[in-house]
Amino acid sequence: MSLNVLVVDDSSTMRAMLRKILQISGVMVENFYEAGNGQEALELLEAQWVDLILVDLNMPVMGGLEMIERVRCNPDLADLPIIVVSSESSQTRITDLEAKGLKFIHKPFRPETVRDLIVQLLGGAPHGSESGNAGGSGAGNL
Amino acid sequence: MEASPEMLAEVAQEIFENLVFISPQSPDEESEPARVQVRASVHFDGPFSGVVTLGVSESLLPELALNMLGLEEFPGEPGRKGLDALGEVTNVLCGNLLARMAGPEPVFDLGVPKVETVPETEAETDLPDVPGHTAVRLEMEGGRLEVSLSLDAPS
Repeated sequence: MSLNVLVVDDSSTMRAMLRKILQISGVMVENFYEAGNGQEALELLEAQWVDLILVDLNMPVMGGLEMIERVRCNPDLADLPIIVVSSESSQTRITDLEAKGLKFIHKPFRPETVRDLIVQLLGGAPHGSESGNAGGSGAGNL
Repeated sequence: MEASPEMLAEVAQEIFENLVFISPQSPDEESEPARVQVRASVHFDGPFSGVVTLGVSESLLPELALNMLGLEEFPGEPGRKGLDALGEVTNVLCGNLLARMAGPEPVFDLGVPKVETVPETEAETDLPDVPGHTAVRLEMEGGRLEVSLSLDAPS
């Protein structure tokens, strides 16, 4: 199972870090897409199918929260798995994010944290796939 | 609400160790590292407001980026990678410092990192000792770091 992953962060260094982490952690990525802010990400999502979004919160032009709200309002994207990757440290805000069904990774993070969360989220089939492997064998392929 | 120089140093060291995989140390009195030549600032608003700034010697910029990316050398021109890396480290430093100062509950809004060159005319001076301003110097092999926190006066 290969994933199409979109990373949204205004830091090109952070985007490259996450790309490298995905590569070395064994997550099979078919297409790796990048966006420098929420607006770029939404434009990309109009043209490309993704299975997972990793998104920062504080970005210029359009931040992560607004991007997430717009994704959730789109019926075609509403159940897309989203992981927030941020230096956000307020438990109040993190709890709010998780209550919306989002996962959260705090910066700085360990590479295995990213890998394990992706496996946990997508242990089965990618978003929208018709091949619904549940847990088990699907996770092993990541 | 203030942060001590010790707290700044602790948080900076933690962030550098976990994000850049380098351990900055307290200054060695006998060494004379290059002055801070580039700095990144992140403004924040919340229960209290201010700005966190991280300044480094220019010589450290490539190392920041290479270490964060796990590379021995850049594949091609490094471009602005070092500056971007500095901004990202400052962003992470700010978020973690605010949590250390205020605890896990308060909500802060962080701005986008702004990176600028430190003018040569800013001569090597002692760190300012003014209310609401805390700063600390650290050293890495090849250069210097300065971490500072400036709090806005309560409105």
